[in-house]
Amino acid sequence: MNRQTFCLLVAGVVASGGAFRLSAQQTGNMLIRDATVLTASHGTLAHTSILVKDGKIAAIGGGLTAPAGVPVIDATGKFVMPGIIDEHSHSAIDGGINEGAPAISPMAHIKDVLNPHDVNIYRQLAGGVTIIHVLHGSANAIGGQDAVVKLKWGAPVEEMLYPGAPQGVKFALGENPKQSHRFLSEGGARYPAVREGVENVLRTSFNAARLYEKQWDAYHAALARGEHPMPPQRNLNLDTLVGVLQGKILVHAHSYVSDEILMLLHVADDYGFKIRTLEHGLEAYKVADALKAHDVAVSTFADNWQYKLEATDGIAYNAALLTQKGVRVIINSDSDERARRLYQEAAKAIHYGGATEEQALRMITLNAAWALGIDKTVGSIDVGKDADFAIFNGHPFAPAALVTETIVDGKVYFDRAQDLAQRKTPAEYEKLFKPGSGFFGGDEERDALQQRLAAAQTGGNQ
Amino acid sequence: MRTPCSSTTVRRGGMSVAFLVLPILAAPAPRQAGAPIAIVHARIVPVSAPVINDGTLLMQGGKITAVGAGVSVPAGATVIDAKGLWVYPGMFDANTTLGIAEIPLGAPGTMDVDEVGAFNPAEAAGVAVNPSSEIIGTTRANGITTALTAPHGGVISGQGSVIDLGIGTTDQMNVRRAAALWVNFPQHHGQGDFFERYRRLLAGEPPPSSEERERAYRKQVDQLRDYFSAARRYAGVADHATDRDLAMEAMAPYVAGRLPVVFQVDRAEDIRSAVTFGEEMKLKYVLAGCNDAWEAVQTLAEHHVPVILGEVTAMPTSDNDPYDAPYSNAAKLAAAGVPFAIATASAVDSRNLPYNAALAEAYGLPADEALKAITLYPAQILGLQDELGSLAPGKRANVIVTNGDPLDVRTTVRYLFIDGRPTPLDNKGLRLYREYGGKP
Repeated sequence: MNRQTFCLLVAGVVASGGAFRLSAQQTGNMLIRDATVLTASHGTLAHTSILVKDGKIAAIGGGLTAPAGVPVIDATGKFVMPGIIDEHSHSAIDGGINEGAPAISPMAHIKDVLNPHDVNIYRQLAGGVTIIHVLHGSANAIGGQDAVVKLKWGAPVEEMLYPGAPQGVKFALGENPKQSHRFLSEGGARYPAVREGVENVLRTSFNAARLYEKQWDAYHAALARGEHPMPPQRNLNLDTLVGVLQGKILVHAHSYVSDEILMLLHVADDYGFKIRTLEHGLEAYKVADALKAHDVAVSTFADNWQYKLEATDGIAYNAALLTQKGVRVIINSDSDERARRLYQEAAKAIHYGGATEEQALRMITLNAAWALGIDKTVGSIDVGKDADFAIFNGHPFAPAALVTETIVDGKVYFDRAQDLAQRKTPAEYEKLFKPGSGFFGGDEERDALQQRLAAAQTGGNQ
Repeated sequence: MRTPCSSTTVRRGGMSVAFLVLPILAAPAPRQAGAPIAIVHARIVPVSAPVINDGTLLMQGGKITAVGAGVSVPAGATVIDAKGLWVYPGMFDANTTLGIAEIPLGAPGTMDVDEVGAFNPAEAAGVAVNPSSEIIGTTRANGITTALTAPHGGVISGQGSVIDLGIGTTDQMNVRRAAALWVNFPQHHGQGDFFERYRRLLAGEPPPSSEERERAYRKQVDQLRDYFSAARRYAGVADHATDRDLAMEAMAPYVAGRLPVVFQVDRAEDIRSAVTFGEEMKLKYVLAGCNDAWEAVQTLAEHHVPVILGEVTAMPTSDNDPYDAPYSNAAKLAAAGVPFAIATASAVDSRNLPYNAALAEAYGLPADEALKAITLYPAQILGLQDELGSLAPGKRANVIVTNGDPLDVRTTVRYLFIDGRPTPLDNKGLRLYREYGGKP
């Protein structure tokens, strides 16, 4: 109901779209004129225009003019940065984010449960985000497979999945997979319950994957010899791990403390696979050299810490310190809320430890693109890359900065002026549906439906 | 008045500080009045007065003694040449759990926020403030010198205390142990009784009907009214030699309107109910939270109700709400003349107080108002404006020296004084940064 209402509201925006903005007629061609361009790859360019053709950056320069019929965004006095990439998101997932019963669940795919109408997509566009890395939760030592989503608000899910992105899978270490914080736990403990057990789950799983791989190799060899062998039984979990062993599936590993980070690197070395990113990695700074040697990126919070025991040595200097030591750093949100202001979060790497502005900028653009294996096509403002931009009314790290337009593939998906023009009065908003607060509902509409259902089941007259 | 700082000029700017070595005090020591301290050649932002471009701030005996362009430095004073640096009052976060909340998950021994029972007015947060909290160290380093810390359990949670974030004992940190009564005002759309809902969920029973819910809500408001009424009757009787009641006694300054009662509310309808209640009970009342203040601006303006907004870094209440509703709340209150402050409603995020104000500034709050919202306004709302919130002679010398606009994330704090005492900016994060080889 609330979702539908919002879609109608947005449909209204699209239908009434004056000029070219937020209209179905957008072609993916545009000229952004006379901006300060923060490229993230080659510095800051003053008084620069960007020509976009068919959703890609066609030219960057001082004296560009728009071909006939191509719309112009006058960005005089504004700042353009690459569309922000949130490397750790759970937005747009319909329902729970954890397949929590088994300790390993890589058969689960996030792309199967994406909700393209999630209002958080629009809210994050309003914070300059153009791509989110939607991850499975951290209840499992080996969790589900991820989705890299372009925030084409209103498009079908199939069009939002980024075609160039390699598949990734979530791993998790520490308090979450050992289930230290189970809420009103049902039944007994699930294996593993200690960090040693998390390691054992990883080793046992990769041992099984190696054996499974051999079975398939033997099967294919027999086929090649012209024999007629029985194929091994398909195992979707082990298929995924074989993909990891073969370097086709990227590993994004939720982790906090330094000992478990080293453990993971040893497991990866022993079985011959790579870790692409540590997710969170609050103590990554303690093992920066090992991470650099393994070319592992760290996707962390700007300054979130102390919320549980494994987060007590998390320091806001993590991002800058790792950068000083040559490790690729990403600042992520892991939150529908923080995702809306990742530019402010990235600036904290300047505040804590003195990262440069370009280093901080890369933490939410180019470095995030590398983590997802899509840095050849997004993450910076370079000719040939996707035309994904966040346009600000000032420097994105300045206190009074806000996003005025967000562009995905050369089309405007957020326009603050148009959003403001569509606003209702506060009284009108208050009449719209508001869900209740609280973990167990307070959602009056749902409660009323459940009331009627219960009445019908007991033969009541509702 | 303030300009966003350019990182090239301020962050690593060549500051010329004549006296760099401030005493680093490893252990709590008595906060005694030492030699006067003079900060000279600074750009001073007093908040309650115009900016002074090349000014001197003088502190002695824990108080600010002079602020101005032509202030003469007394002999024997410790002089800090702050050319190129900016001087502001320490920031004031008027809604926190600082000192009573450390590690929420896995270490319940560090949590002193949620008391058992609905009415606990006699319990004050200031009693349980942990002066060694690692969170306080990181908060102080960002220029926050003062906080209201309050329990948040039950209905009348207890009393919020105004503390400073200096080095010292709990007693030294307490500015006002009894500063405000913290009340979680009943919610129309609240989850109701948690255990009752969970029991129903497990039993497969439907949730309460809207009539049941309304009855439960009314009952909660009636109970709260009864409690305040009982406290008022108790205060009306002079002699309690044989029936002294500590909870009722604790309520006395609040029912008398001497100290503020804070109603935590978020929804517009709850905001209106809390206002109705506050007016009916003739309280000196303040609202906190107020995520939906933008929908109730008219009511708030009509009754001139002070609001401790925050956190700003929040989500809109409903999918239908404007995406920037929490960001633009402050600008709307300011435009309507509603007194307000910005707070974080947190312990660990209290260090982000200036960045909450920055978001409000980005979404329409004038820059000088954004600064006041985290300095002078919280002091005014809590009745401490004669002691705190701006740089003026006679006020507590809670002072920060920065390399730029404190609302700019790129700015850092260079010196901090609490009660006129140089206070170290070192903290757990910085210690580990050094230990693991971070560049100075």
